[in-house]
Amino acid sequence: MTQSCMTCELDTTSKATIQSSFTASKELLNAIEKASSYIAPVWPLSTSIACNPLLGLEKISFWQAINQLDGFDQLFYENQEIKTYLKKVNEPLIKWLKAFMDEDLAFFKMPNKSGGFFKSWLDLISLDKTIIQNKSDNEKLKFIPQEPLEAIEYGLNYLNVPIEMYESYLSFILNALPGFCGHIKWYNEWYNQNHKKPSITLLDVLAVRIIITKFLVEKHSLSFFVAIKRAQEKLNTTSNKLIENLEKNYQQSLINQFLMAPKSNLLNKSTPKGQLVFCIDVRSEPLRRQLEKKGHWETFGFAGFFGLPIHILDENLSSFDSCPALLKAKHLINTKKLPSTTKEKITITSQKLFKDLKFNFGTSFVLAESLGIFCGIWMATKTFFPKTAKKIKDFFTANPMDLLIHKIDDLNDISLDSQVEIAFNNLTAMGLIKDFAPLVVICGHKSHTTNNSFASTLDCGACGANRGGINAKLFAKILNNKKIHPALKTKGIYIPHDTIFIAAEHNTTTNEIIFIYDPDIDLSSCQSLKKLKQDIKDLKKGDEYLKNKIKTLDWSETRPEMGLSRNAAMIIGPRSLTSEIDLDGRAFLHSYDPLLDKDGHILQQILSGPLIVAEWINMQYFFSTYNNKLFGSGNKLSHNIVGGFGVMQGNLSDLMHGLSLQSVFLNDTQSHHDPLRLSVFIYASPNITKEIFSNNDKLNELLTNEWVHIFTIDPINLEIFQLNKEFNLLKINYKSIESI
Amino acid sequence: MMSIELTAIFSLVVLLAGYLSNSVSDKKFDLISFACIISCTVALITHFIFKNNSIDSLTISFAFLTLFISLIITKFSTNYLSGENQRKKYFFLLTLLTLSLVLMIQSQSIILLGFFFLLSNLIFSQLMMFKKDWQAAKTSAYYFIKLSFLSFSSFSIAAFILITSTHTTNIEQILQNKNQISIANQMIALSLILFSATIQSGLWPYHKWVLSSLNSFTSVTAFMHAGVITGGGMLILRFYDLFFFNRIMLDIIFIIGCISLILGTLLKLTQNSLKKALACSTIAQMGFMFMQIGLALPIAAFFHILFHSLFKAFLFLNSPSYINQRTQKETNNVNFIPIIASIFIAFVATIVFIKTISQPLSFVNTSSILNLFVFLTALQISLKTLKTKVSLLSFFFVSIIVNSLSFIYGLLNSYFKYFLHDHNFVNELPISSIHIISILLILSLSLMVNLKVFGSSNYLKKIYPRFFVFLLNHGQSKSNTTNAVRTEYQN
Repeated sequence: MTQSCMTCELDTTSKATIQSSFTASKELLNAIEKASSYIAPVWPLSTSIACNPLLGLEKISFWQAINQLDGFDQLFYENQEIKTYLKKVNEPLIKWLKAFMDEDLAFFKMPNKSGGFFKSWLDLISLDKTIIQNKSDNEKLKFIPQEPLEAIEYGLNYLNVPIEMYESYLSFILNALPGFCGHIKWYNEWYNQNHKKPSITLLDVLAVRIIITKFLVEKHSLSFFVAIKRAQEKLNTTSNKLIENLEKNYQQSLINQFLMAPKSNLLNKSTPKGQLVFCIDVRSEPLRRQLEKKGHWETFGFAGFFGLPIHILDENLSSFDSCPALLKAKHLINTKKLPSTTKEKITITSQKLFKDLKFNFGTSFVLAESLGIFCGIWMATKTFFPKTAKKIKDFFTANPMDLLIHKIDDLNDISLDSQVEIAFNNLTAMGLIKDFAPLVVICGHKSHTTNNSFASTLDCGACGANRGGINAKLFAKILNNKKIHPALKTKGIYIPHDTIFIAAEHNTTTNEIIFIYDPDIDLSSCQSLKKLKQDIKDLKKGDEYLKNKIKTLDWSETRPEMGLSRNAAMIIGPRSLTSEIDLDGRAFLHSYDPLLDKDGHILQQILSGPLIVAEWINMQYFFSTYNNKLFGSGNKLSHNIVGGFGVMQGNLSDLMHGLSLQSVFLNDTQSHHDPLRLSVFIYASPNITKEIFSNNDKLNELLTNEWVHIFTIDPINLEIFQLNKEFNLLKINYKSIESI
Repeated sequence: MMSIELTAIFSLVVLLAGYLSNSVSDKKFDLISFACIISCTVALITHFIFKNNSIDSLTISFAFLTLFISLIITKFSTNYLSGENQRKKYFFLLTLLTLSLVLMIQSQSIILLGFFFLLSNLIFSQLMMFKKDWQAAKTSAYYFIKLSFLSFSSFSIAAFILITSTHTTNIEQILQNKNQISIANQMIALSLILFSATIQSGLWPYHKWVLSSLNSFTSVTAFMHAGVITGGGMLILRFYDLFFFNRIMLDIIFIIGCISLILGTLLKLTQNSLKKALACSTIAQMGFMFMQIGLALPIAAFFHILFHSLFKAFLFLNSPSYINQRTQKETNNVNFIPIIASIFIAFVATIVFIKTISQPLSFVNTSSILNLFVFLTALQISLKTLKTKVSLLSFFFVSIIVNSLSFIYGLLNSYFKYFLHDHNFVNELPISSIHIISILLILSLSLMVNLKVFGSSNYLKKIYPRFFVFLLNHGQSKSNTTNAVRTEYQN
């Protein structure tokens, strides 16, 4: 992951529209650009990537952002005029946004979508009696400009919004629906698909909203603007002592463990029976520890897409990126065209047929009657005998993603040079360039849940919220490719002839490992593999495993697993640094060997890639816990899927983004996740770390604005320093928790 | 042998005691709920096996359906509601609702029927506003309560007329003494019952409450669409003997059904949220059921209520799965050969269906209208599975599948005909012009949807925006039942 990946931030769609024939005032253009920048992207639920919901506010201090957020929250509750305004305008706006953005559910689509949201809306609005209520409104409609930007200026003038209030007003009205606006932002700036969908930008939303306001509200009072301004000016940096204390406690206890852990491990290292590479995900850590305890295994942590920015094309499934959102996919991977199996045909035809009959005219009645009895039996089986239901389902149908992983079979789509580059970069970055064991397992991860619209939030974020198996399999295949070994040798990485690479998937719901790929050679003599399989089998014993196994099949389970809940730290360094510490599944672990990275180049890549991803995840969990109504998606029990891309609450609401209540809370009142900012521990020279943070704008911003806590562990003497926001290195010593 | 009433009342007492007692924990209370539902089911099955004549087949079926769905939803909810603070109250209300519905279904007295009808609705409204702080959910529930009282009042007046005319409160006897009721009184009483049923089943023009009822837990919504909403259909079927001899009423029922079917389906096809689409579909399905009653096909209507309930409960409970279906969308054009092949297969499948239910092939009776729906569905299945290319093998394969489905469907139909033989439901009427016009309307809409003609002709292009905006606005929930402001929603 390179620094350049961060430049894919602002797309040109909004800017291009701004530069159209109409010349708006500079103040307005400025205000629009600023207001839009505060909105954080919201991914569709099928590939739900975690993102900091206050991404746009990372430019200001963390506490200022929190205070501003609290100010807004208060505003929604307390100010009657604002409440009435939001109620009046949000509802018709959501109605039209849903109608335009839905590509999946409705058969009757909104007409003339090709002209963009604002234009197609303007074409229809005279027919909407809930907005254009009488003849005089219809007359007024003639004066509405056809271009969104012009319409915004017209509307702002009509509503008497003072020029100095432009930015706060526009920012306020975009933030009134952060879910839909965030999804539009994602669509314009982060969506990588090739096929063109109808255009909708934040500019359109602003224009539609302001015109609706003109018809339904007419005028804002002065106190309306004052209240908004006051809420936004709540820029005090007062910190929340409760959160700060929790953070300090956690950090100190971790530091104490570092300082107390036996040091000998850092020097003694013998070649193990096998090496396993896991994703940096916090859920990998407990499994790694369990395996390491067996004594024969060495484990590594690396971003779960294994350095492969790929886009998957399959004949049956919609295409998707399997890499972090920060990267643009470089390699198009075509799945093998195998003749479809009967199971596959049944799966695909039945899914399509059911939808077609259900959403048709006149056919759903006989369908309900003829399928009713089967639905009844199926419902009862699923509810009372989930295991039997699973067996029946598996007998007739196949999991499309399992088939897809099976169909990814050759490396033709990645050139040999790229393969060498990928292998070299990855192995160096994770510190595995020598002492290869006879068996190396590349282990992606997946979750296994039933009837869960939030399933993708539990999958691998580094793989674009998909299953990690695809990338793991490809990376193992690359490393097995003997053609690249000579090139690697010239670069200093010698892979022994008898080392084999296999791929596996860590099922995070049941905490088991499933093998998905091995090379076409006789593995019966591979003792390491036999031993590994035995050790993995041992992990499956116990009540916990059986309990989790049932959870994967239960269609009424709302907490199949707690995902990355409780995440609090990221540790960048060799595993030997943490192997003696129980990190309790709370830390992202990225392998790193400072000896292989004298100039800090690799460290910089880790910090500008995986660290950012970890910070996004951390912030998503933080805010979903801190204020679930504004930044979480609320109770799963009343979710209503909208447009195939997200969920609303009940009859109609904003697009609910963030995590559900069930993902971060154990029950209605007790949270499972502690809202703590990410504490990053870097095993590298403090000066190199300091230099990287001061030279990289994004990292600099995160540190100085206190969105993360940075600690370095000096490899020479294992002293721990905190890099504070003033870029000072403060030495941290052992301290008992009680004394904090 | 204990009767169902006694079992239900005994269960009610146990349930109440369990709810009020502090020593009964949440988990233990789940068991009490299960015990109540299971004991009622056992009582019902015992009745069925020993053919006790005190209950008729219609009552047994409806009661069994309610208990079956309740059992599934109760089991589903045990995990679904884990972590919910007021879990015990939820299970109390759910079981109470089940018992009240069972008592309503099997009550022989018109007064008790009315009482349990209202009670069930009131209990259900409590489930709708389970989250007390959630204003929008509360408003949805209040709206439903208002309509429930309207429906109850109308039913009460009807009951009063029937009781005073026949001097009995027993429904069977009222039906037997129907000759004692004057034509005018009959018209008034039936209109009022129909009005009450229309509200309960969310039919046009009282469908808005169904569109506004989604601010509750998915399990509650599933139960509503499977159990509560079907109450209207049950009500009409209970008084079917009166309705049958009043052809004007049958035609009115048919027209209400037909309008609801068309409106519900059009609204469903415009919805962009899944639960709302399912809710609109229920309106259409209830419309279809009313049409069946209007066509004097009560067994078909009963059959529809039964299986639609199971179908809809499943779709609601399974709704979160929708997000994870990642299969690509298909955009295949319809070719000539598959159409001919499909028409042939559908025609054969319809004949198979007619023969299985041993019905004479007729085009002048109302049952032929149902056959038309069978034909339409078979046609659609064949078209979609044959796709663009037709090989001999695929033709053979699709024929077998479609015909076996039609055979199974026919078998189920015949079984229920046999099962309900104790009800001397007079079946079928000659087709009237109202039927033909309505069916032609439905057929042409179906054709328009399938051939996607809305974008093709200039005239349709012109009226489409008007049509779209009308449906979009009409499909909205009542405005104070939405959660338009983010902070107003309550977890």
